[in-house]
Amino acid sequence: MPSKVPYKNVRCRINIPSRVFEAQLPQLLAMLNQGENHSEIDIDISAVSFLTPAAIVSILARCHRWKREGKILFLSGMKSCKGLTYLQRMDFLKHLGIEKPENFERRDATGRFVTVQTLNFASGDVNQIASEITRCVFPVADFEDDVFRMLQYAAGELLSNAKYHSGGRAFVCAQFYPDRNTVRIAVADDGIGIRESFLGTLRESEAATPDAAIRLALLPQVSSALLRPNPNPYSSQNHRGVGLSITRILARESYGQMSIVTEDGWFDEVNGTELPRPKQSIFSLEHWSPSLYTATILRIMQLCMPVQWLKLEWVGLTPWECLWTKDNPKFKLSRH
Amino acid sequence: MKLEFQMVSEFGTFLADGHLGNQFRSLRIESIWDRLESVVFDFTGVTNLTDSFVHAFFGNMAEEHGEEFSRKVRFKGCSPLVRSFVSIAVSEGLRKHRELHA
Repeated sequence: MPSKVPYKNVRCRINIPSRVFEAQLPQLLAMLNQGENHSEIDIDISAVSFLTPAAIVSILARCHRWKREGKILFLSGMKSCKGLTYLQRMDFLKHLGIEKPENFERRDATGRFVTVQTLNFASGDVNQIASEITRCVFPVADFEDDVFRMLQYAAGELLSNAKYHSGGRAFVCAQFYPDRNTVRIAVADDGIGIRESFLGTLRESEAATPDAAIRLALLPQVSSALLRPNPNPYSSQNHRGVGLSITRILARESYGQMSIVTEDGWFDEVNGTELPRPKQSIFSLEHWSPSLYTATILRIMQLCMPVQWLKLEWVGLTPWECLWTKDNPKFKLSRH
Repeated sequence: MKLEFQMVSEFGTFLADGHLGNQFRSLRIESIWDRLESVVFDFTGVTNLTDSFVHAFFGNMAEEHGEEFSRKVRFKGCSPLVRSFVSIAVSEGLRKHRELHA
């Protein structure tokens, strides 16, 4: 590993863009990279009016790692930030360690959003958070509704993946948009990244680059835990490597979008079509010190599902079974 | 020794965390497996689950014990959804057991 370049002793200001949707996420990530070479970082939110869940958790995961590295963080521009109330409601400030009086009344978020929650290997209740995410769309739980079950399943698998494979702290939040009948679920962590999770496994060579590692992780029955030589049956075989692949299918069948970012690896699929890599490099090299590369890994997974489209029928089959028996006449995963 | 576990009491209505499932299996069942005559898993009240959970819990148990699993383990209170999840995990585990011991 190359020797570390000393941080610049000047404060770096990162101006978070006014609106960050899926299309602006690469730009946001590139901007966050500016902080890598600095010991003091000022996150300026004065222009912010709208951030997607992916943008919120990406900023938080990055800031969490910076704090762990001993960097000094500042948050400025709160007075003129149009989206401040929303950020407060989502507990964005709380997770940055900032206490600011709230000029609004907190109401039950059920049916609207899930505030930022955290998970790591030792803490965080996957079952509970996944169920809360589902209640974004279904304020009243409907256990017999296929879409309810599908959402709960997808959220559970995404969260389990982050909790047990990331090796770091994961930040999660979700927002339901009733006008478009769409839910956005985002998970970002400050852990080891997907490529490193395959190190020492039987398929390490297939995960040589971050892009290749993402695609390997999306294959059915591929799990970094499963691929370890001679796994301990009582501690290692926790995963069957089906969660992400099925979640991808569910996103595709619902005309949804699934995005995964790890290091400079990028995967973005909308309605079953993989989008080209963004022109804006996730790693803007002028701000990027290669020596910090291995220390700076962020994994983000986002699921954007228009829930009205999905008609899922598990007729005696689990999603895992469906994956392998697409020709089976009982397989019914259809769009309305 | 006969055991019965209420899955709702142990894990809640949605069973998603494969690690917890595997941990429970290891600490509460495998540690006393030889002394067990039978073990019943009651899924009454469980509304949904994930493949990660069932494979970590029951798939691994079936893979480890093969036919002995079929003799000792019983499920009850399963909805059609739960039954389908559990049956595929158990079938997969038993198939692997046969492959390993062929």
